Amino acid sequence: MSGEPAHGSDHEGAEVHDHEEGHHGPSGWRYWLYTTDHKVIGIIYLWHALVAFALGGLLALVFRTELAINPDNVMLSLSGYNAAVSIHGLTMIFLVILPLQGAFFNYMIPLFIGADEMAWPRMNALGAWGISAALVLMYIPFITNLLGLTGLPDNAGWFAYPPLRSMLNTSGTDFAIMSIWVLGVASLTGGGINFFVTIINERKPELGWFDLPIWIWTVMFTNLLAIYSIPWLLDAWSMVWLERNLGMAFFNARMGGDPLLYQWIWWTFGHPEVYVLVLPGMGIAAEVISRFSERPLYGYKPLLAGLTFVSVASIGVWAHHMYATGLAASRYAFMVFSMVIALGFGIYIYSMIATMWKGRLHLTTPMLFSISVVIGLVYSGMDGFFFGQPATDLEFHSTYFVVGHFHFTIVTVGLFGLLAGLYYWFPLMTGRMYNTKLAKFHAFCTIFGMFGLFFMMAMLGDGTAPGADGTMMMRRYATYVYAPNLQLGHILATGFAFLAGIGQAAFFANLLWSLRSGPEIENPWEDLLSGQNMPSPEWNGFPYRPPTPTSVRDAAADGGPSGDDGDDAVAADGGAPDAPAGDTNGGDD
Amino acid sequence: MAVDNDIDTVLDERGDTLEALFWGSVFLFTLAMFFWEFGLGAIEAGEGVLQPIGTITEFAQTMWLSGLIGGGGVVILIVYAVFRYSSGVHERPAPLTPGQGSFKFAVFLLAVLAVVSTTIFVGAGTLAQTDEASPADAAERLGVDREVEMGVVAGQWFWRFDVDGVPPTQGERVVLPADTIIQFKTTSADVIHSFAIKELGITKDAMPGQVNQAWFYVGEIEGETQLSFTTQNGQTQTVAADTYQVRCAELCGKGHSKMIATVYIINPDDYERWVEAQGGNPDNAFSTPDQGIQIGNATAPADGGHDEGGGQ
Repeated sequence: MSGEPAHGSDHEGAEVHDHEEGHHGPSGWRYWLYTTDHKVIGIIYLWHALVAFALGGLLALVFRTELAINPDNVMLSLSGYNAAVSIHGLTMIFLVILPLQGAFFNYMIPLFIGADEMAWPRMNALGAWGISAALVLMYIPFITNLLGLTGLPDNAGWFAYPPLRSMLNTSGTDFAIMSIWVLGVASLTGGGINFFVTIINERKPELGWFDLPIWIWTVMFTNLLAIYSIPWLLDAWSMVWLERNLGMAFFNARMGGDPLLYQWIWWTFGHPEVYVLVLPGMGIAAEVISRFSERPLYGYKPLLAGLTFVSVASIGVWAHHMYATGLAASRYAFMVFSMVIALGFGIYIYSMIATMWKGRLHLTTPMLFSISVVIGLVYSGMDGFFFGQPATDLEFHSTYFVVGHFHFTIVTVGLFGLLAGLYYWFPLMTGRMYNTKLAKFHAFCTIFGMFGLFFMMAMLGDGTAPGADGTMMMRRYATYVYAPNLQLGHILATGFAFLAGIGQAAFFANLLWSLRSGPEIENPWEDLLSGQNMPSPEWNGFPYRPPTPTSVRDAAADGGPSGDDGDDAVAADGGAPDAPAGDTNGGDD
Repeated sequence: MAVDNDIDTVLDERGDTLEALFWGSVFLFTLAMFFWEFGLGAIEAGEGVLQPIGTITEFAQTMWLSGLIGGGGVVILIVYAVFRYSSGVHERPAPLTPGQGSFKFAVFLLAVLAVVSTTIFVGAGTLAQTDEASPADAAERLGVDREVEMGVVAGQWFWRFDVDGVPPTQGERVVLPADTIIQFKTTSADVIHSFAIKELGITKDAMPGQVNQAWFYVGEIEGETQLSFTTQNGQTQTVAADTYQVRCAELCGKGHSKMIATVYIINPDDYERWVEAQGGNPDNAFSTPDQGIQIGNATAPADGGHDEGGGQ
């Protein structure tokens, strides 16, 4: 294929960094600590994300077990349950998904845009070690609490409304706030701004805006939204910290503050944050689906327009989290903004299906996770309609239906996309292949278990769970003694959760085994994907054009590997009489 | 070596039919769960005698149904693609040509736009009839001329009910009449709570320093349970009642999950006797529906609103 010589210069350094470079740089722990190499920093991000993933996942299994065995609390105290739920949420959002994205941003952005390094390598290292500090600060209260030195970890929920949070008498809350300070500052300066500037300034001169891979576009939107939203988070939590520790009053009604103020600030961060969590996963899924379906990406430019629309709209919908707080007419405006977001995601879903349709789907592990991203996005959206609408929101607000909905969004879209990326790029990052049977076992347990779990959550929430008889499970309830008949639904949910947990155990085993003993390989997808005229810069280097119908046709006309591609191009020219001058078609650049 | 075989499976371009069947079935499983949930939602009919849930459910039903058709249809396409176009089954991918299918794409976009705008308009109408409507508007629409006002103060971890005409109670039980608009105002004595009767479609945050207001209505009772009380002259009365659970819907600390109270709904005639038994004047048990306070406009007294909502 045309990308054949790409195994040369450009990415030869990818697999060898931790062996050869040790000779002229520091070695041992200094090598990791002092590094400014974007690839090594990417690996550091990855390890942090995996450690936090294990911790957050174990916490989830603990409180899922508690929910299944008895309607009342028998294992955890009431506040202990709240702490486990709060730290699970904070961990998964801030210490798993963001660092996992950071790992790929670090490792892949320079490869994708043909840069040598990030724009600010030292800031980049700061971003990576900030996660370390944040992880330690988040989990110290568990240890000090076990030793009897402090109270429980933060237990006001992950969005932590004051005045409750200002009144919690535990230093665990201050630790959680400090953890997010460190993470926010580090990931904003070392991460977000750095990634964004790198894409703008460091890319190869011949890469125009419409030559960027769709994944790089999602990275751009993600980091723009992060730069916009994270300061709101830091503001809100700093104000809570000042209330707690210096007696200031921002949200305390008795002292003239307004508890609702916190919610305005928090959700101004909170909603764009959701799109920060999902967009990179969607981008990876788009890259994978196109190549593993042997089809060009359908509608590159409409897809770009859809993602732009989603990103811009996401900063105007935050108050749909606050419909129950007593808002009046403004709910109509936020309802309209929330509903029209469906257009942007609709374009993405259409584009993915049109790409797969009549293609040739290779059901490898990255492809399975990518297909799940599209399916998860559909379910998340269908559930989400009920929360964009104020009327139905008042019925389902603060039930497990919400919990199911945002787990669909964050896990089956955001996290599954990143897992697809991990399986797609693992050989590139390590030079070794993983055990594919174990990987598919992981994919099965994760897809089956997670979808099952989140549907059970949603059904517990809207009263359709088996045995629930219309009773809704309320969110963040440590007990459900008010309706013991919900136990069957909880048992099923916990069963699915454990299935998913077994899958993650296989995932970690596979990862650790492959790092040491996986067969060495340069590009496992080479045979699979050769002959498609859709090279990808991280594997094949440059020149690069996004895998649109036009670029594939042009590449085939330039002497692609197989004659039949040329025939297709000829057929293609007469094949689309209804195309309106190419404004909605893909890749007419 | 086994390891080499593993690599071969990755590189295996043939795949096989079994694999397509297996993974197609896994994705089909998620679709079955989706149909289960949304199907049950779609067949759940709204009950007009319970408001605002009756109106909300009517609207929610159309959303369950359109979700079932739209979302289910999309996932059916994906599952079909996995069954039909996997490498083990499908030999040669069809080419995708520039501009191909743009007409279908435009139709799809218009369809999404149509569904979304319909939902916006119908949803706005539903909101105007339920949560936005003043008690007087609701009373007119439902043809009711009786109203009872109730103040609800939430605290860690209790509900205090101050129903017009009877002494305030703090605890697990509040008694209210059927076929009457119940207008409630809620606030909090400490942290944020939320007054939710999910079976009636009510969720309203109890915020410190702010009074939120809404209403609900139970047209007639089925008499699923009974309420006993002692009248002023020492007799015990037992009347038919329906019960609804009040649950706190905003995390408020340790006792959040046990902040449950029960609303007993009894017939208006029985309710007059209940008011008399509590030492109130049965002639003043009901008032006429008014416009209520503007939502979100009022502020509670600085002490957390002790007398809120009780009297006019």
